[in-house]
Amino acid sequence: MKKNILKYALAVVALAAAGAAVAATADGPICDTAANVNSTTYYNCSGSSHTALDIGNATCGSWNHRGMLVGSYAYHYYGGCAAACYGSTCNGGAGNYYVVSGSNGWDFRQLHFYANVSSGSQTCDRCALGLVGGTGEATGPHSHSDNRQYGTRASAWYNSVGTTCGSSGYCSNRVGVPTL
Amino acid sequence: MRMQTRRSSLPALALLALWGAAAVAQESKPVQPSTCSVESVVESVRTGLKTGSPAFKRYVRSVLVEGAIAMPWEQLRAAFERERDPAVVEALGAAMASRAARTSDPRPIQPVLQRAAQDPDPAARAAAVRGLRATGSVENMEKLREINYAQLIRDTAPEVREAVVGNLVTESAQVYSGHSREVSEMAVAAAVASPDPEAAAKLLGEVSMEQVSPAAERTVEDQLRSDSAKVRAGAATALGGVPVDGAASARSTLEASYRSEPDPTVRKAILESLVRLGFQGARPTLESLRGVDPSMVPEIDAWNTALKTNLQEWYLLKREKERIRR
Repeated sequence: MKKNILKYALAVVALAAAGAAVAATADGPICDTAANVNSTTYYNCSGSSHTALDIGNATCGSWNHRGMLVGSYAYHYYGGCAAACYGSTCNGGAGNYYVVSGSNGWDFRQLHFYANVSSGSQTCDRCALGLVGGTGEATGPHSHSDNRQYGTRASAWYNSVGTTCGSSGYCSNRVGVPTL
Repeated sequence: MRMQTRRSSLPALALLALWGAAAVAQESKPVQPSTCSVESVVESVRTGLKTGSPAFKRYVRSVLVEGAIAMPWEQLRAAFERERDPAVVEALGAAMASRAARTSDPRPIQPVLQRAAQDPDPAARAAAVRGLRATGSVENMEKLREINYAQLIRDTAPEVREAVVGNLVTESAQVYSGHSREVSEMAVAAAVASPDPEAAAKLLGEVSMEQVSPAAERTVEDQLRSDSAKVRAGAATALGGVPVDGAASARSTLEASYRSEPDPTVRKAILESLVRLGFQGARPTLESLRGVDPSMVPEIDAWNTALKTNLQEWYLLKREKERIRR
């Protein structure tokens, strides 16, 4: 019995050293109770394929768009897009965006930032990364977040916690458990 | 795939903490309303950490960490500075590090670093170091330019050195998923500065090296000539994870070291790193080393068998090899 426990412990240590993926927790990106989810696996929950969360509070360039991951993570910033609320052609449609890179090809992205003084690569915990905006391919201001492995978007991270259209996107409400 | 959930956010934690701690401390007494203050939250945390279950201890630490951003800074700092109980020092340090992370301002960790370097009690120094765990502490130390892990690892107390190692290993893996050059190079610098071979070996062997510069890679290669077999084994493991630009240099250094290395655990680590650097391409090298040490032939055979599965993820390949060797 003890031998098996030791073997298991060694296997866990080996996996940890080798960088196996882990589940993180993601809260809503906007500290406004009006923020809610308006697209998940399909746009508006009934349109074409989307496989990401869109969260908005019907404002642009005024509310902070925060890092969603609970705990310290390294947010890498891809900027250069001029301020926009209703879309622009920039960064392949992502607009100003951040990527948190995990293990084994997993990443977590937040898109369409309206850049401000907070925008830039940084390691932080739910900090302000810019403002809610609509840079890139966006029909209106919102926060788009997705969890991908080798570029393919996953849906389990938000489906598994019951997040759907109409769910709260407030900054203390858990909206998903992305893999990193 | 190993899945583990990190801290989750808990709304209205402070009030719940007061209720929870009161329940622990007074059990049958009815809950009484009380004024919420930093002192009362800290007392609740102290009680919870002394008497609570492991889950409740995690909970009260979360209360403090999540509430730190809303607490008056001077009161929080004063509570940290007068605290003597190491468990509470660690929880308060984590709260201050969380405040730094939530506000993107490194200054809240200044008192924690001062205490980690200067407190006369080694248990308090170690607790202060642990308070910075799983945050962007290396980045914040670089911004503050006062104290860093290469200095803290020289501490005479083993528990402080152990805390430094734990922080760097955790930060590299959890905060950056191994992708931070700054954390990797700080781990290399701390390993070189460490008076403790065990700590140096763990830093080299467990912190990801996937982003290190060529200069840091040379430093790791130099550790293959350490007097300590543990450090040499750690350095050998580290070289298996260097970026592709440094792989050729690492491969030739490891191959040369294998031929002159007397210790079997170091040889084993070298074989593992040669496979990690080359995957299928490592097979000719493994064959060329077969005659060097007959006791390593089962190890080489296990790697060859694992490589035949053509697994493309390193951790799966390593797990397969370990399964074969059991």
